[in-house]
Amino acid sequence: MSNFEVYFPLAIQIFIAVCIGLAMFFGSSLFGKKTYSRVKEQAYECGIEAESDSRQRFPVKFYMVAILFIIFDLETVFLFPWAVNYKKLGLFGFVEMGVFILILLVGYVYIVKKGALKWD
Amino acid sequence: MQFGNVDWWLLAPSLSVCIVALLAMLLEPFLSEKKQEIVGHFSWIGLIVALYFASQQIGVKSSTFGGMFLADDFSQFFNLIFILGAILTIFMSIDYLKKKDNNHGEFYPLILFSTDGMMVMASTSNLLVMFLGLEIMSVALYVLAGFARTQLRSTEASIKYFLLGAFATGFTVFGIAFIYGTTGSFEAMDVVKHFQQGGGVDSFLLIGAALLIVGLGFKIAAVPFHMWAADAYEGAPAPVTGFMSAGPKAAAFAALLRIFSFGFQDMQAVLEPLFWILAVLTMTVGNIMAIRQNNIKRMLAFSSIAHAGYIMIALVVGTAESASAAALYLLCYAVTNLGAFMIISQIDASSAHEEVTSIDNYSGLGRTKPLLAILLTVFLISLAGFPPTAGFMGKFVLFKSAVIDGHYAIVILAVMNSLVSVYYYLRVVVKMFMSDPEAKPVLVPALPAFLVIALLVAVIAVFAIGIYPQRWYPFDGLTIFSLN
Repeated sequence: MSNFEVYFPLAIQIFIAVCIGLAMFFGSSLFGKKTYSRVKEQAYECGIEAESDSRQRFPVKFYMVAILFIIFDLETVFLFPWAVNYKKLGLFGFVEMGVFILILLVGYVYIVKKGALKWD
Repeated sequence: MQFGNVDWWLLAPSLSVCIVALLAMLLEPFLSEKKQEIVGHFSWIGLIVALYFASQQIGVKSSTFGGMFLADDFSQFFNLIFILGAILTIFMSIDYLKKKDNNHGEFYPLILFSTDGMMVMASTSNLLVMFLGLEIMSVALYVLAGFARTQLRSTEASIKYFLLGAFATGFTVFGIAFIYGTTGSFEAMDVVKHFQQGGGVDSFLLIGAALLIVGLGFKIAAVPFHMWAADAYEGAPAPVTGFMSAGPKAAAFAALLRIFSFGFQDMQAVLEPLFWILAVLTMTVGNIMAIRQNNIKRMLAFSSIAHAGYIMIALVVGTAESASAAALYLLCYAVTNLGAFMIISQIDASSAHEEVTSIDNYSGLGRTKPLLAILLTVFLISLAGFPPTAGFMGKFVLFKSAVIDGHYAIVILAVMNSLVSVYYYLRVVVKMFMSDPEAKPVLVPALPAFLVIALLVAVIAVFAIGIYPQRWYPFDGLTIFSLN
């Protein structure tokens, strides 16, 4: 059980930190002054007046584009380290990366043929 | 075949499944709606190629990717279960999807991707690679569970499975992190080294093990992590339910056996009571809940929970014999349950937009469709564990391995539980043969050719393992695979 002893000071620190946070939170709600007004209850969004409720239905194509963007955007995250170490990785790295791009290309062909990128 | 320090030949089975899946996905959008079944035919042919590669590797014991990818008896046996399960699932889906007016070719690549994930899971003892396989398998399954997307129940199944599955994934990752923190390695076998170097039962190792049991226990639907199973199994399309109870369950057990019976063998004394309680709870709750079900898919969901409880006996015992007995049990269970789901999907296919899965729909089936009724009886009897079927042999070998190791109490409880299960399996049989057909009996369509092949394979497998097990399982104390 020696592991727990090492972390014991850390546990005390976390406990104190949580206590301070909770004390501030409940202290202000207990002792603070409360005022309500119509303006205060309104949603605040960068000073622009809210037009309607935010929980409304919107076309799924926005969602689709967002997901596809993430998939193909993350591709570059893997490409950069490879480009930096290109010489060191040599032919094997090149082939590996080619396979990786090819797999993404299959996905790309699939979504184009399925019409996921058509807006109308 | 070497290229860049990797033995690609060892990867051939899982790599071929992956390539076939990608090609099937590429093929799908180029085909019109009426020709989508071509993707299915392409997929099962690809799986047979993978089966060929897998059979060529029997006896090989090697590793590649710096020991992260293993090819041994263990992975080969489980690969057989996964590929066979996927082929049978595709055979029963080709006509089912057409009749259910849900003929989208994406079904088949998803099955293949999921199968590939399972193969990765069984072919590694590296926790991180195992986790990768688990996710590849699960993500495809979440989509498959909701494949009948116009059906509310199917969507519900998908959402429930996904949310709880993602939650359980968190436990798995956290468990892996704790084990890494203790042993400094992602390799499950390094836990053995940790003990050899004088490390004791570390509290963090224990937390890691417990979290892994929670995460993987979710995948095998062990009580108390079984809440998703009934709804997911009931809502998913019938072939997907069959697939889910065969392959993914076997894959999660492969991971559990690899980690706990192989890697954590020195902690067996500490973990044994935990597995004991989990196993008894799982089989008891599964069987008792199954009694009251009126939907056959839901009933088999609880029966699948109960079977997970029986198989967990192997984790309680933790010997090489019991691990191979569990593997045999999983093979028996996979072919039997897939067989039962072939009949269920055939009955379910009698209506395009409604679920025909109530047990009442089966009344009088023995008179209207005797062949289907007899086949379903065979599979249910195998699930209940009567000789001369595979289900009996699986139970016999598993319980024997526990008795040899001196675990009498859990075997007695398991046998009593099997007796309870006989009631609800035979209830369907009684309904089929001893009650009159409904006033408006279901119009079961003619048996499609591929379903006939799949049924033949399943029935032959059930009796082949049940009557002549020596051919498939060495009985003289040897094991399919040895520890280490």
